[in-house]
Amino acid sequence: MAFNPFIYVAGLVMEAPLYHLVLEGLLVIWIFQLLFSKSYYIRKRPGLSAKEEEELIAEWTPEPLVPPCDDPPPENNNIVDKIATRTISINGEERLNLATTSFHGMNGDKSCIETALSAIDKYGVGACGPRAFYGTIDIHLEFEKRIAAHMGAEIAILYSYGFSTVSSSINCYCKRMDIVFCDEGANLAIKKGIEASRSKVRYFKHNDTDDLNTLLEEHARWERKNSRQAKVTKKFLVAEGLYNYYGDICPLKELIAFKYKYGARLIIDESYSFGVLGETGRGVAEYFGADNSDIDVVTVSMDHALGSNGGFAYGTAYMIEIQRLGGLGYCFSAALPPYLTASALKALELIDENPKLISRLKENSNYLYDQLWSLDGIKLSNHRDSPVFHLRLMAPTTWGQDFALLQRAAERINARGVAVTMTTYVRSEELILPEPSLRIVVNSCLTREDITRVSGVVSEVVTEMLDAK
Amino acid sequence: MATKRFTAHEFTRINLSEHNLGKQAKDFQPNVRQSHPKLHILYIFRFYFTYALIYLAGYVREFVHWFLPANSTYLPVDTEKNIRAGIQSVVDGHAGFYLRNVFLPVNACFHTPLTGSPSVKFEIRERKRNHIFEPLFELTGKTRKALNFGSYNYLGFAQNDGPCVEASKVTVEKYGIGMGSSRSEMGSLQLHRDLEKLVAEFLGKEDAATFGMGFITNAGNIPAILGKGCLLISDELNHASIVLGAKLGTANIRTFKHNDMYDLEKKLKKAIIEGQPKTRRPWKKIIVIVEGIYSMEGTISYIPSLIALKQKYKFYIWLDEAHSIGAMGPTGRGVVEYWGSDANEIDIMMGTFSKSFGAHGGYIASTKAVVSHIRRQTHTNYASAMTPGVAMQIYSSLRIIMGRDDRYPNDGQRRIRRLAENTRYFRSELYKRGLVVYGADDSPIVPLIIFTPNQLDIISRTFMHIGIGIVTVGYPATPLLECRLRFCLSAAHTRDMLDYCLHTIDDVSEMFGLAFLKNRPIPPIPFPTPHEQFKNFIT
Repeated sequence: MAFNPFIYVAGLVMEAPLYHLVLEGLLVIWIFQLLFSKSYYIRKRPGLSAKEEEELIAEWTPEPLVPPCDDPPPENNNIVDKIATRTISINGEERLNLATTSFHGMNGDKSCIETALSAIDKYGVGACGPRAFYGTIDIHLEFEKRIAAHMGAEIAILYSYGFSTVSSSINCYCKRMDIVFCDEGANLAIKKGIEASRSKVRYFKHNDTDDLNTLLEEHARWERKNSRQAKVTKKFLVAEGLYNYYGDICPLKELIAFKYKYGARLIIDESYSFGVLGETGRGVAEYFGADNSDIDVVTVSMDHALGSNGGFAYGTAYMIEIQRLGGLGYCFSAALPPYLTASALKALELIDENPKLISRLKENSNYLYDQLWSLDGIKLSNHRDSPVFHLRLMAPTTWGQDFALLQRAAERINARGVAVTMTTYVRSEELILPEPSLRIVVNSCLTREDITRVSGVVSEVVTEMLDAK
Repeated sequence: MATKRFTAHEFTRINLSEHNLGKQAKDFQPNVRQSHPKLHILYIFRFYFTYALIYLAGYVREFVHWFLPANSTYLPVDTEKNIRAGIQSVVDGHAGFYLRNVFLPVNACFHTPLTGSPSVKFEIRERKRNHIFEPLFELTGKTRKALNFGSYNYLGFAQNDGPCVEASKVTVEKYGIGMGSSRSEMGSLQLHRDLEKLVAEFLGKEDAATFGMGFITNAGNIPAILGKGCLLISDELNHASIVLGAKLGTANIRTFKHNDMYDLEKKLKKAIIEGQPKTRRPWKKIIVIVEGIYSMEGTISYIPSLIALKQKYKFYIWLDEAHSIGAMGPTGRGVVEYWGSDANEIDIMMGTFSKSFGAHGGYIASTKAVVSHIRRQTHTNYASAMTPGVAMQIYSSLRIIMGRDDRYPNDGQRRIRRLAENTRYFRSELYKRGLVVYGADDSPIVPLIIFTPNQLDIISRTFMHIGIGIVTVGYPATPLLECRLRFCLSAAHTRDMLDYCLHTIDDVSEMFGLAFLKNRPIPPIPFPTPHEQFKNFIT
């Protein structure tokens, strides 16, 4: 006979004692009560009522859009009213120009201006669109071709603003997982490019190869431990050819050695060294006799030596072509006005034809350096060959006080017919704020007598100021 | 936004009663309808299938190339030294795959080189490449004349003759080419100051600052007004420069659905009630960033709703008028004027000069305190000032737009009116044809959606063959599935040119089957023409 569960259960019930049945009956009733009783959760809190929400919204008062500024710095009243090359005319006063960074006066060169005028006749002013969407004018392509040939690179890419060139280039390659080794003294454009890329960044001490070596070594140890992750972590070395904030030159040979030793890509910003360093002004690679192809990407701003506007980057086609889709400042900005491109092209030709410009700039820089380096109470952070001079106090106190002192000095120097400026630092934006500095920019249009006069004025004023202090 | 569904079309329309708008809203003039048609699911399936085929072909290609030496492809390769040193590749993962297999074949429709000015009739330099997967082109030396429907030349100031160009030439002669110094150092001209004054006056703001590049005007100045404990709420389709600027600041970033004021309100409410994440402190300030006209969608932002929301939620508005300044509104003062709103309600007005003014650069207009704060904090303190020639082009074209130039008193007004007429005409003609067109009825940017990227190149070439230059856009500038053709209208387009273009569109849409809405075209524009809407303004 097959097993019948009903008979089996009935048998159990018959056999069980009465108290057992009563107890189980009660338990069953309790379970049912638990199941069907109204449950509540202590954790659940009632949300805000609509009225409370409205109250909260009405209560909230935001801060003003910008913080109130009780003591705004005076407005910049230096109005330029003529072309600034050897001299600069400010508010009708003619002064020797040691303020603008057009190292060869190409912004005011006759033939450059003529080229610009004929370019305006041909192309109009604006390019009216990003490069991808009918903003590419043939002069842009010609410039890219010529600059690449000039620098011995495969291709070049033209940007419409100097500041964006380096930051977009860096941002294009470095991604979230990557690591960037960057010089502490690099300019804001570089640092902002790295910040935008959200990659990990290690700053090494300014021009300190030992510190860089330690950081790279540290990273190499990490790589050995996490070899799988290391495969997708790209490494980048970022430096400036001639430092904007210090005027000294990067140790390129060591950087290239590190690049191959640790397998990192090297990005150099040559905004200030292009047209300045090297026999023919081809930048820091020529200066050190290094091979240009060892640097993966070089970025240059055309504001300075070429006396125009915009910037370009060059390197191998493998590296640069990516920027045409990934460089934000290239993709999403209107192209450089054609006439600025044409004049930059002309300036490039002129610099190429007259190596004298470079040598004169170097002579001028060296001469001024020799005059100023022995000045008491002042240290020059720049290299002897650099046309950008940074005068900093030997005995720094606080940032604000030093800045005020140097600014007074700059005003007095200006009053005596030599235009110099303080280096502008946006203090809240700088991660590592350099000491305040008075900046003197030498250009190749100045004669030896001019430089003598400049050095005389500067040393007199600085000595006066420091004595008075 | 109250969405009112027509048959298979989705129009977002502003519903003013929703936001208890104040006095302005009662006088509020223009009606705006923004089209965003929905397609049948089978079409969507077809587009996905096309993508699947493209990707499959790509994978097969990559698989074959795996066995071939590196130099057998046309792609540039890294230097040998770098490869030997074991430096990782910079193009890897999906980005590299997309670049090589989807972008490269259609590369020919981007970066088309011109010669001469990008005015309404332009000359294109022909170029060729030997293989469809080759990234670099060579110029053939031939040129081809075409009509320009691609440049952002809304008011037709991109020309190589005329008063603006002459003035700009004189300025270049007088002040040189570049300034070689920043505005805060020794790169200020009186011209810069005059220009800033004029821009401020044009926009009805206290003060304005100008910058050498439009992109950096956003990317370099947004960080200046953001700090710790600030919240930035940005439209999801905002321009890359805004995204970059937001990334550079220390503020928290949230996005709301494109042009969806309900979503924005939800986000605002949540933000104010919940405060900062982790610390639970209230936000210090909230900034909402929108654009006037979205360059890829052709949509116009709902300024009156935004202002109504602002009165309740007390946030600040950063309005990017890159495309709308000069092109919108009865006197070209941008999208704020178009809606009939008060410019004082917009805290920061940003815009560029590279579009309607035919120049280069950007501006920020706001109160004196804000502008001077931005002048101190901007990243362009490290970069060169706006070049004199460019500044003069802007100055003189702005004077013409404002009617200040005695030689051309009505020229600016004529151009603006012309653009508005062209826009209405061109758009309503496209609607009739059953094409998928996005955006507001009055936006001079007309995106025509073709959905898949495989036809971008051939359509662009067809247009070029007939003598019309158009812009084709694909991922990453648009969503993956919404590749599009874009027509930028200009005041310099004549009715004949528009008709010529429309004829071409007819042919092309027949050839490639672009009339996805053939049986149920977008309804005709129901509102009066801009003239009638603006007749209160135009005297």
